[in-house]
This record gives sequence, C-alpha cells and structure tokens, in this order.
Amino acid sequence: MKYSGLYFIPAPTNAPEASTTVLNALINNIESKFDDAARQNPWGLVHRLLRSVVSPSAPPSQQTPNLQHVLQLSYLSTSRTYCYIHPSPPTTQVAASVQVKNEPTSQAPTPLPQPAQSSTTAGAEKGTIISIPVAQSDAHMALLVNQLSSLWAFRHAMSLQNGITYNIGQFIINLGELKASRQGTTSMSNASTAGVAVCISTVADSEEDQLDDSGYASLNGDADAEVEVDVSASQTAVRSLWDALKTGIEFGKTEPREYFMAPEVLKGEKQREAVVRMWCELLRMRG
Amino acid sequence: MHELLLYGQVPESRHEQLLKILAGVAAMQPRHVVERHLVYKPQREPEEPGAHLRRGGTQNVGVKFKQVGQKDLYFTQLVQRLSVEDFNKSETNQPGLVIADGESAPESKWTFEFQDVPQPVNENHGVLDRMTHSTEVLSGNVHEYMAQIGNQFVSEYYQDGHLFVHDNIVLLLHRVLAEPAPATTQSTPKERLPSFDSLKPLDSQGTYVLEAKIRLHDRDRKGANEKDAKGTDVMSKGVEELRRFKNQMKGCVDLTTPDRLLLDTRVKYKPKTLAQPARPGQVVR
Repeated sequence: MKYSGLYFIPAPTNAPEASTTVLNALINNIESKFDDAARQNPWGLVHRLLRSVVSPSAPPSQQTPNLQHVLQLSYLSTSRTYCYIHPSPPTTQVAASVQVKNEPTSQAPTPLPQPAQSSTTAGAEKGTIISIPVAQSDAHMALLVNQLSSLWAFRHAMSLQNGITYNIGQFIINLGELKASRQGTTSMSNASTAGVAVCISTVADSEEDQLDDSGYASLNGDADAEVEVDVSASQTAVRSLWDALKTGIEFGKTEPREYFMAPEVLKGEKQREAVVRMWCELLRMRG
Repeated sequence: MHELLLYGQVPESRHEQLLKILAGVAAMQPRHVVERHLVYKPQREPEEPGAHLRRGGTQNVGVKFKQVGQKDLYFTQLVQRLSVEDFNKSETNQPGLVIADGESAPESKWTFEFQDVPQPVNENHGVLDRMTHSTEVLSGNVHEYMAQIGNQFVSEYYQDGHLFVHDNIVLLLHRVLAEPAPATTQSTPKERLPSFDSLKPLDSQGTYVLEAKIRLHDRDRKGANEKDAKGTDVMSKGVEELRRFKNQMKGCVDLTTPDRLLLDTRVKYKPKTLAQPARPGQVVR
C-alpha cells in the first residue's frame, strides 16, 4: 500500500525565480546523494478552485463558503479528473489545529518544519469526491462557472508541468514547480510561480507485496472495513528522506509546509481519494 | 453543446406500428433504453425578479456601480442508464448511487445533465434550440456530490423507450414511468430500485412521445464555403435535416415544436404570501 507525504515550499514574493533555484538544488541533492536514483516519466497536474457563493440572506452559521477543487493528477490517473468538495472547517476548529505559519525565521540558522495540519482535521464529515473523464473536465468547469454562477465562483487556477519523478529504492519522489494564474484559462502568459511541491511516496506495510504500476489500485475488493492503519512508520520514513533531501538548501524566509494523507481511510479505492484530499489541502492556498 | 428538437405524440395503440416504421427508416433494430432520472434543484431560493434593479447605487464619488444581471437558478438532473434486468436483481447487485472505482468496476452509468431553457422559436427554422450539457461521472457518490454542490433532491422518475439513429438525428420513442404510490416527500433518492412491473406510465392513457434530436457540438461554426448566401454553418444544416425528417414522417407522426416555456428548467420565484388579517367575527383557523 502506497503512502504519500507532500512538502510545499512557497515562493517568496520578492524573488520569483527562487523557486527554480530551490528545485534545481533539490534535484542536485537527489542525484548526488543517491546513486540508484532513476528518472522516470514526467508528470503534471492541473487544478482549478471554485468557491461557493454565499447568499447574503443565509443564516450566519452557513456563511463560510465551501471550496470545490477540480484536480487532474497525471501520475494518479491519466483518464480522470477529480472533483472534490472541501467543506470549510468551522471557525473554532481552525484555531485549534495549527497550520504551519509562514513566519520569516531569519534568525534561526536551520529552519525546522513544524508539524503541519494533516487532512484528518479538515472537517469531521469528509467532502465528497467524484471523478469525471478528463475530456469533459473543461466543459464541466465552464458549466459550474457560467450556468451555476449563482452557486459557484471561480477562485484561481494552478498547474504544474514537466514535473520530474525519481525512483529511489522503495521511495518515489515527484517534484515540480507550481504555477498559479488568476484567470479561468490555463494560459501561461499570466502565470506566476507559487512554489515548489515535492511528493514522497513509500510503501506503508509490507503485507501486500504486489505493487502494480499505480500502486493505488484496490487491493482486497471494496467492502473492507475502514481500519485505522498505523502509518507512523511511513511518516517517519518520509520525513527522514525529506530531511536528507533538503540538507544544504537555504530556503530563505519561507518554510516548507508538510501535508500527509489521512490515516483513517486507506483501504482499497479510498487511497486515490486520500491522495486527492492531500493535494487539495495544499492547493487550497489559504492566504 | 446545443440541441435541435422536434416532438410528436403517439397514442399507445400505434406504438408497435411506429416502432416498425422507424426501424425501416433508420435501417436498424430499436435499442431498448431505460433511464432513471433524479431531479435536483438549488437549495437557495431565487430572488424576486427585478430586485437587482431596485438595489440602489452608492454615494461614493467615482465608483462605477456595475449592474449585475439577474442570475438564474436551474433544475439539474442525474440520469442513470439501466436495463430491465437491473430492476429484478437482488439488493446487493443493483447498481446504486455509489459508483465503485477501480479497473474491475462496471462501466459508468450516471450522467450529470443540465438543460437550459430553449431559445425563442425562429419561424424560419421551426425547430427548438436549447443549450445542454452532460458530464459522465466515473466514480464517487453522485447524490452526495449534488447535495454538496448546493442542490436538494426533488423527485425521481423513469423513462422507458427505444432509440434509433437516422443519419445525424437521434430518435427516442419513449414515455415517462413513475411509481404509482402517492408522491411522498423524499429527501434522498431511493436506495433500492422498485420492480419494473410496478412502474406505471405518468400519463394514464399511455401516450408515447417521439423526440427527434440533433446535437450540435459547436453551434456557430461556419462551413468552409463562405459564399453560400443561405449560410452553410452547422446550425442551418441541422435545421434542414430535421425539417426533411419532419416531411418524411408527414402522415405518420406530426412533429412540432412545443411551447418553449414547457421545457423551462429555471427555478421560479415564489413570492412569500402575507397572512391575511382576520376580519372581526371570523374564526381564525
């Protein structure tokens, strides 16, 4: 069973080309430290975010808008686009779950990544995910924005192209530069770099030795009970690899943010959904 | 995507005869199609028409007040393709609301459909033109997705018909079936399909409807020959083909354009009625 962790290094606003430097430094680190690093096929992602329009006459409890993500991740599936409705967490919970703060830590020589909010705390009821064919995703997006415009408004679009994949032993590392654009189209002329995203995947428990290409295919069939899988070992492995990767790289004022997959539901086809939720947590880009 | 439509009515007694005629015209055997339609409407109520005009401007100098047009709220549908055997399967085998993911899962059958109100009928054309959109759903719980998008479930019905394809026209000879039980207010679609025999036609006389439809992917695209005065764009080609079909079926089925407001999918504004003040001496119920 594959387990993934995601790291995101936001681009500093005053130096947009810093992300490319960081990305190249990470690649150099990988190639120099690990002799058996093998480069695989490139990957990409296209993401669009919509925000629900709150009617002014709604009661105050319903005033926080929901988010809808339309995400296409090429290494997960080449034929599907996922639509995920992200319930906004209630205000009390936001204060309790600390998301990594983007404070400048210029005085600290080695900035430590703080434990980030994992997607388990993103609302007690998990948002729904459906998948639609990739060919229809643009049309579906246009429908949501135009016809259902009184319900959903476009927020921003992100894409990652020419991402790089490395295979190191039991780990698979996907890295790339995320570009953002405010318009509805995915034209790159107005794109600015949002940062570098690094996704590290590893095998969680070794009961199932069959690992096919995607790694996320359903294992035991569909009706398995939702068992709490112990992922702490995988999380530690991912963290230690990340520490090894980032040694010697100066991130400057921005700190990397960490996101992990929710450990509760990791059986069968829910694994794909957990990956989508993890990415969407990052791509929410609060603030 | 746009659709050009013509409708005709067929009494039940002539259904068999028409099936044979259409099979001859289209040169294919009829394909039996059973669909389950779930109707959803937005949870939010529409605003009073004209309310956006009454909202005043601002006192700020130099600020342009943009008049935002009234946005409509539409009914949308989830359509599931079924076969008659699906109705008789045991509960666990019935295709349900949650579509399984994975390579071994059966082919997706749910589609999210949206239809706009048809355009006013152009007398030269004589066909109904409406914008439509459909998205196949490959996995996930479709009802929950609709609910979280901001819709609420209204009702469900079934459509039983036969499909033919004749050149570019899709012909559907169908009628609407519903469960005969009194319409209870359901808030979620039924988990279990009722048995097929228990469904009765919505129209007690069992009349069938023949729908002739041409789908235009890109309505305004012009053909290669720009010199043709009549316009060789896809739209006029479609209209021409439908009219030819209508003439071909003259005497057999009368294909016309119904009133476009009968196919209006917008949510109507319901004004809140004030309570009547009681007159003295009258008992207030």
